Amino acid sequence: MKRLLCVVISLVLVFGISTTAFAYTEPFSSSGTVEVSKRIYSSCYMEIPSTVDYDMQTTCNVDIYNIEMLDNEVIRVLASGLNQNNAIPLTKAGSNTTLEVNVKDGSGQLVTASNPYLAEIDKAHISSATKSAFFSFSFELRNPYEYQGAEPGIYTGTMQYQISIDEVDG
Amino acid sequence: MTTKNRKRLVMILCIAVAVIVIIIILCLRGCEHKSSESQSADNDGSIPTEGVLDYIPYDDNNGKIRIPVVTGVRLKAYSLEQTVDLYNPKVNNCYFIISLYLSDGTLIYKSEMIAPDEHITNITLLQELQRGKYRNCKLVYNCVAMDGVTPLNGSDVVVEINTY
Repeated sequence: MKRLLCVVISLVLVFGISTTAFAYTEPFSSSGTVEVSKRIYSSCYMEIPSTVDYDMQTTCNVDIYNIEMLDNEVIRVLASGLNQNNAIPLTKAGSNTTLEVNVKDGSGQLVTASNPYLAEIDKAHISSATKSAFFSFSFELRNPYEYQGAEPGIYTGTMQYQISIDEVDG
Repeated sequence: MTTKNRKRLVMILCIAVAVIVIIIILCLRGCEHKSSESQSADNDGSIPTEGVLDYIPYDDNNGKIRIPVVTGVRLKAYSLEQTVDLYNPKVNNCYFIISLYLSDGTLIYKSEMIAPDEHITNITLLQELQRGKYRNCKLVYNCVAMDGVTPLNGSDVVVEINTY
């Protein structure tokens, strides 16, 4: 009886050990999306006069080319560094006299510290063929009669052009 | 008039004409020499001869500076060492000194003089930036003549600094 019981228990254990392994045969797949982005910034080249040469160049042209920008952007160019008289100071080494020249935009409006815009160029004013644009502005000697009797010589000054490509609404 | 006398007369006339022609040629050469002397005297700064136009045409070719304009710069956050591409276009006849300012006027970088056709790719900031976007910054191009002293017109380019 005991032997029979041992055999039976052994058989039960043997059959109990072997089990059927079930493999998951259906392929597992999943998908998702990851957004990858990189911004290419708007750009251009601006060509400015190298000096404020009032004698030779009362009207200046500034060229902007290789323009890459979006449709809702504008190029703005400002005259920065104007003094308290909204003018560019011209000085001469060894002289106490300072000449001043005002700046006027392309429509003849005086450029001031509170309204320093030289030009605003939108996509409509950019040549699509050449991707370029230009604008003009002029200098005007401020209070020319003040300088009668000033020491002769070359008076020089510099101007800083601030340029930005801004997004506009609409 | 005898034939002999006629021949003599013709010979005398020919000699006279030849002498007159020689005198005329010498006078013309003398005038040319005087005018070339007066022109060389002009180059020495003396008073020009009447009738000579003293004119120096305006040379517009020396008067332009090309400024690269880009509206954004990518920099590494929390790092002073940066990789960029600041350059002075080859066509320029001046040095660039390029500075980078935050919107509050803080200077974070200033270059040495950059010659035409020179690129600067590795820069060291004066302060680390946090991660994010710094808007209304300025990339300031100060231009100096090739003598290294004379200041020229320059440009401020408004940029956004994108730190990653």
